[in-house]
Amino acid sequence: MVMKGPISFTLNGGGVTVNTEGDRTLLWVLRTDFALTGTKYGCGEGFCGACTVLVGGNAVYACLTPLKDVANKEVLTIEGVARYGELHPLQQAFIDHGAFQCGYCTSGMLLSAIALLREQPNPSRDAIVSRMDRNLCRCGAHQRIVAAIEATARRRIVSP
Amino acid sequence: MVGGGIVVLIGLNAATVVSEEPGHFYPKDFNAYLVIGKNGRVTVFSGKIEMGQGVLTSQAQLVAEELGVSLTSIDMVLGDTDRCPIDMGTFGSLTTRMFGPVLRAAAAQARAELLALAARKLRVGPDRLQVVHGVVSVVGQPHRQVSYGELAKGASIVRTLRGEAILRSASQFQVMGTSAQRLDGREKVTGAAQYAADIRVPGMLYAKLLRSPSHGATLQQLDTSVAEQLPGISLVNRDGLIAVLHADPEAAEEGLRRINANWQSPVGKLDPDSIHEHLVSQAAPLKTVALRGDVTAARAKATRIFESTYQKGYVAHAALEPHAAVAQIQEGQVTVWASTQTPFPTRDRIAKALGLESARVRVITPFLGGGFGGKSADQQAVEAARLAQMTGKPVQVAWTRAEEFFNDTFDPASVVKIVSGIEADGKISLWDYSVYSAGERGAVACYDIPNASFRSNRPSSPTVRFFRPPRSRTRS
Repeated sequence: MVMKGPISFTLNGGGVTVNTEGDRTLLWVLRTDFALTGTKYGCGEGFCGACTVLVGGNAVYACLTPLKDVANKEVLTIEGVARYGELHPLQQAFIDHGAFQCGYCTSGMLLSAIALLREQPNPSRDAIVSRMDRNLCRCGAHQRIVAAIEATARRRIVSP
Repeated sequence: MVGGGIVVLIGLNAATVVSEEPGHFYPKDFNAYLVIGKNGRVTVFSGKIEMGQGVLTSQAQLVAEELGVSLTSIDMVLGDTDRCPIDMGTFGSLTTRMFGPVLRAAAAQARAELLALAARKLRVGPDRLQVVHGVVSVVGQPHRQVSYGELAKGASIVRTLRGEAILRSASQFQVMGTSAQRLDGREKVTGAAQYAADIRVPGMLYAKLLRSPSHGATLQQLDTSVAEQLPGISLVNRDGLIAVLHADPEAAEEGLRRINANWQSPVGKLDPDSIHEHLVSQAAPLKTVALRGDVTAARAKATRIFESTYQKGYVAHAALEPHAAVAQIQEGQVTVWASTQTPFPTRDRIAKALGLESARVRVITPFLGGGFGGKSADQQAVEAARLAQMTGKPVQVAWTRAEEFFNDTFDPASVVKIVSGIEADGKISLWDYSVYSAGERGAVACYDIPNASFRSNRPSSPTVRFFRPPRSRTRS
């Protein structure tokens, strides 16, 4: 028996409340109820990482996260990463390094990278590669993604 | 102008515009490829789509270079069958090689016409003019200028010049040959980029289709009574299409789960281990693609002979974005947003499936989350269009990962056999190559091997066989 009820949380800095079944996944609540389509469906099984968002600062797979698990927590999606039109340094680095091709994995890659750099502001290259392993890319932008994250961490000036 | 380099002359004549398809020619009118607005922004139309390979940016680079405008002043319209030149599709690494010259020629012709217009307006010979970022000025007198926007004003540019326009040479390149930042960067890093499943139209229903457990299975029993009890659900069971539709995708998914279906699956005779032997033993006869020298004699003369067999299994394309499409029918006009590499063939397939003229169907191609050759069969677009016609509502079909693997038009399983030989000096003297089930493209070795045979039991598609690069004239 599924219970419908109000669930409140912070979404991209703003308080929201949805009245729905708590066992719905965050992925579809975001895409359908909030029309935030930047978080992508790639597999629905927690394998590809295309649906990665931050909950309480931690990178999670939205396709496996029940809505009730985000009650009273802070949720960050790709739409909330740029602030007042200003790109996050990681977003700018992705552009500067050409760290995307089709772009379908990019939202998930960025959220994972944000969580990584919050935990480890100066990670080794190996640490970056190892952490980003949970996000799949089928186009082959891996090297440039790692370079963009590393450059951001090292605060290097990039000349494309 | 010439500065000691090679000048390439190219025009939109019949030989140049021979496209990949025999009998099909790209438009000869350069206005079909670009329009310059009053504000100077250039809209470029191309049937080639962006799926991560970067042609949104590279095609813009071609136009920016030849037209003389900045890269960021270009807006690309890709894969919209109402607005773009007809195209067989984006695959085979053909965009830059085959469509690139056509686009460059169009931009070069437009530039020549704009210079002629500017010359008349500024009352000076065109040879005294220069173009920088879409502004034409008299060399040495920058105050005497007029912009492309003022000249074109968003309208078609009348063709007045005869002959061929001159393409810029490599030594002159300022935009081509540079590592330009991709034009779709900001959209993709902010989540603003739209893919087919992100498209929503008012009144849209999400459709989940009942799939058989294996290809060729037959439906024995179907019970939708439990599914029908879900509020807001609609069901379709017509002409081989069984689908559950709902305004909420998860409710549609739940509806699908509630369907009880019994299938009879055919017994599979082949598996990944037996497929290769099957391909060779059942193969159509090998046909010779190319022959050089004397293979039999070379085999007898060789100091060492090597015999190898290579097996390739079926490979899934596995783009990160599964196939998706949205179909909407309004007053007899069908609009389909589809994740497809082939918008024009998709349009024709949809028209045929719906019993309509192709002119009634418009396919719009958003960003694709990868294609790799696997998004050319357009099954999901036809499904969405048929369901929209049956229900009278806009419909979105978005495949699950399981459907994506199940419905894939796999990269083919194939077998390659090579008998090769070297002579005493170590040079390869013999190359006897046979390929089963994978077409002949790429079969003929580019190396200088004196005795070689290239055979295939499957011809490549007619499009590749009729490939001819555009003819161009050069003068140094």
